[in-house]
Amino acid sequence: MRRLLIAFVFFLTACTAQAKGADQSPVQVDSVQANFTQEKQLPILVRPIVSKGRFVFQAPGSLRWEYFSPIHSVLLMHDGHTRKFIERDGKFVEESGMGVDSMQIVLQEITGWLDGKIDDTPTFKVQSTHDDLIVLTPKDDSLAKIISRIELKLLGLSGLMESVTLFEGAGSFTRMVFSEGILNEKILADQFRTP
Amino acid sequence: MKNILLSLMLLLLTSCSTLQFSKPPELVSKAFDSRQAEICAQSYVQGGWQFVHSITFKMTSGHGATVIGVTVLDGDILKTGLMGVEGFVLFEAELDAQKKLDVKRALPPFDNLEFAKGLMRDVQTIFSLPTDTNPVTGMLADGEVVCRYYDDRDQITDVLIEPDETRRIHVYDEDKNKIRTIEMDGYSQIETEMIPEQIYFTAHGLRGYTLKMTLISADKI
Repeated sequence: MRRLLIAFVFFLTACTAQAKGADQSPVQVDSVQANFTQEKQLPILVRPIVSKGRFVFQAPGSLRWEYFSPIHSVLLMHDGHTRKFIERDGKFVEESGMGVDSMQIVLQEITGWLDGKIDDTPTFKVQSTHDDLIVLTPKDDSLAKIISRIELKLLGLSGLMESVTLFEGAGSFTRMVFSEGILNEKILADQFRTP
Repeated sequence: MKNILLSLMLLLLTSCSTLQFSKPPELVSKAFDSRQAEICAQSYVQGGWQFVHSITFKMTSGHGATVIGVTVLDGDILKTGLMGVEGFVLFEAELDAQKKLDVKRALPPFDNLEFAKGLMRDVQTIFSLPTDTNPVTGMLADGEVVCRYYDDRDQITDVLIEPDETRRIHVYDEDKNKIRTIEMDGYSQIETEMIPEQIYFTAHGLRGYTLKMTLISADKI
């Protein structure tokens, strides 16, 4: 489960690194924010589950990852603490199901991507890179059973990500398409502290 | 020492009180009423459906979590998936027409066969009409109309239809202890069926839990 969480946040954090992977001319990424539409497809689903949300990242390790629908939830990472909130009956309630230790490892992944070491992550290897597409596969067999690969699609040389697709198995994938991305704009720390 | 003994007694009493299960109520009148049996049967969806729910799970300890649940009713085949709010598939299983369970994916803490069997049983209780084709129909002391289904393990499922056509279900085990309660609320018409917006599921007992299921989507397949 820990590795699952690592990998899942990993593809979000990839958005902060794509500028370097795309054109080899490093773009210093201090912050990224974008809206996203997530499509979840499973073999048993007659139509995908569509979620909408927004993520905000501030280097070196602050993240706000918010889903507006179908379930309003917020994951916050800041100052080494990770908290998750779910809206119930109009109020945010903290859920303690996620281990903080997992998220600390996730933060290390984020730092690695910010350094632009796209092929040096301890968890994934770059299998192929062509045009604006980067394909990552898990290094560890046990993780590969859960996630077969991740595809990162870059938005030209803009320094932003177009989409991330996480393949879990036959016919099962999660695709996030980003929009209205903003790079290196100052973000108030409060965004990472309270839902 | 006295305090410890008192505390232990209190604990024991508390435990005993939580172990008291409700028994199935007596039916003040009973007979097989085919029309009533049909009304009970019609309170379950007919044909193939796919439901997506937000499910808030809570244990008696107060711990809980929220997941997304997918239920597919495809003839005699039942398919279920559980996902994290972020979309990760945590559990996926299928129960075929011969009641053979195939767990396709199960990540911790759902990687337990007993969990899988229990989950599929609960999903069946919520969505599938009991297999007993000749339920006893009757009335409770308070005037509520009930269809009482017996299965081959002598388990009882009481389906109560309210005047507004909403449905409640009580399940009793072979010792006649109430083990499950399901209440449905806020119906809306989708295709030709009335689909509940909310389902409140309670598993009774020491290891009890509740599920609050909020409908995200319902699709006829």
